[in-house]
Amino acid sequence: MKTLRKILLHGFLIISSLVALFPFYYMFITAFKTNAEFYQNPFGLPHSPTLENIYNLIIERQFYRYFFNTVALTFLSTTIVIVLSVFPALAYAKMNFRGKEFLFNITIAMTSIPLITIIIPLYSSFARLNLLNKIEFVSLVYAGLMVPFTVFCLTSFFKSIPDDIFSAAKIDGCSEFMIVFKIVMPLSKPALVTLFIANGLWVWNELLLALLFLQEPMKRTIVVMLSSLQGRFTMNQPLVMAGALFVGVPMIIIYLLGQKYFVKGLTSGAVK
Amino acid sequence: MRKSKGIIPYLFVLPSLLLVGFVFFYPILKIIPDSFFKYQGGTKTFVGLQNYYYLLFEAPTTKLAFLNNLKLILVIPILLLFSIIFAFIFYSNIKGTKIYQTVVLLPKVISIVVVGILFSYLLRDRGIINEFLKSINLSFLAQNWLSNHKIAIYSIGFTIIWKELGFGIILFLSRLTSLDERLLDAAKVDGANTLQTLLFVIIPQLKGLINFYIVYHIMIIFSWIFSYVFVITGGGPAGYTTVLELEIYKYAFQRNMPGMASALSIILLLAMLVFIYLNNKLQREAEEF
Repeated sequence: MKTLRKILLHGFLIISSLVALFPFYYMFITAFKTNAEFYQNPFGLPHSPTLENIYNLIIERQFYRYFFNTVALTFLSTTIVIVLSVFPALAYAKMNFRGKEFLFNITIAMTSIPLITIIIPLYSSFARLNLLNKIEFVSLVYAGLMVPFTVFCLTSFFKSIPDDIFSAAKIDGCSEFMIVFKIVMPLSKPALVTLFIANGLWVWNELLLALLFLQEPMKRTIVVMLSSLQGRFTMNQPLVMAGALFVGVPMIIIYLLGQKYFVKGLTSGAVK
Repeated sequence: MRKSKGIIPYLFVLPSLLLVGFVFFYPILKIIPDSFFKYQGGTKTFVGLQNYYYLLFEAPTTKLAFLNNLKLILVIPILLLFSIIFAFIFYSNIKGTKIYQTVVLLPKVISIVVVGILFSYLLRDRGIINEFLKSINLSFLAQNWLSNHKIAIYSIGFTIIWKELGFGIILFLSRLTSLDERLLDAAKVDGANTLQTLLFVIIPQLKGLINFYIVYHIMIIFSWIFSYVFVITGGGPAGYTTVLELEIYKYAFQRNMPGMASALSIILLLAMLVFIYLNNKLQREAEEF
């Protein structure tokens, strides 16, 4: 009875895993087929795997460029948001000042504002300021969008640091700013890594903002290029799937390496 | 709590507030007046509540979009049910849990754009899902998953389930592992079987998280699924899978009607506000009893 139950359970889990994995399998096998082979053999392993599609994307369509654009955007915006959020989070968690509750609440409330509702004024002010297609400024927008969530997570993390550590540091003559760099940052390393990953995942994968704010061909992100690739070469599935690898594989690798942080990052906003 | 005098706390919060102000406060305040205007060829005319009236009573697409958002709400009970079942199985520490966990969370780390493209290929008329159904002699089940206007929105729903399930599982699992084990031991001593333990011991403990999960996903379904629809169907066939976000996007960037887009944004924001308010109220009432 017990073994039967175990077998059934494993059967259920294996089937579910196959359902979860199948689209990935399809993406990988298709990316290494020629279009001709794909039409003869759409679902099996490639008979003679080819790098043609990947070569085509890198050399002829300069995908390395979009890849680096995305890396730059992700790196810049996740760094900016951390720098901008550590200070207010510390103030909200450990200092007393007039208007604290109000400022904290109004910041946190922004986590429930849908991006689509604010994107028109945001877009027109960016256009008016002539900042569209400039990755360094667009990453400021990404950072701003992530500030509420990041401040929320960091504030609740800082609250868990005992006050004694701060008073001790103060007695030793640390200024408020030094406290941030000498004490808060080192203590919060795991929380910061988690936030880097959660935020980075969002920026890397984001479509709507990138589609509108980085339209210039040379400034596009890899996700936007993938979406336009699908629009133009729908009938060439191997090419599109090769493009999907550029978006998917880096995140899969980082996920497999730092799974612990992903799990924390994805659940951090929710469990608290 | 430390008393901090002077301007230091304000210096700490100011930069973040400036950026949040630029990204959130200003745009929210800006769409309110914008929604009362009509923009045409560089001139703007005040039209009062006309945009709202048109969207709520005349526009053919708003109602369709709203109904599609409502249809997608159906994914939430399915997600919830499977999340709890899987979390419970993993919690029982069956062999290979770690590997299964790694696998189920994989869809969550992939861009919605990749997922959308993959499923648009898998679900197309001669895609693998139909071919598979034919190969096991179930060809009567094969459908035009994305081009049949009656079922296309559910195909999008299916894709959302595939992508989001892992998140729910991990969420409930992390809550389960923080439960007091004595509760489960007590249930065992009292002779409760697995199903009884799940229904009468564990689920009541998860109430708060279940509520959070539902509320969170209702907000997702109404305001963060643009990319799914944009990539999988683009709103087609013939606009039958449009959703509120896509309507706002089209008014703003394709139909060149920013006033209309602002009005629809306000409607969406107000709806969310009312929803959050009602939920908080219900929560508080539930706590009082």
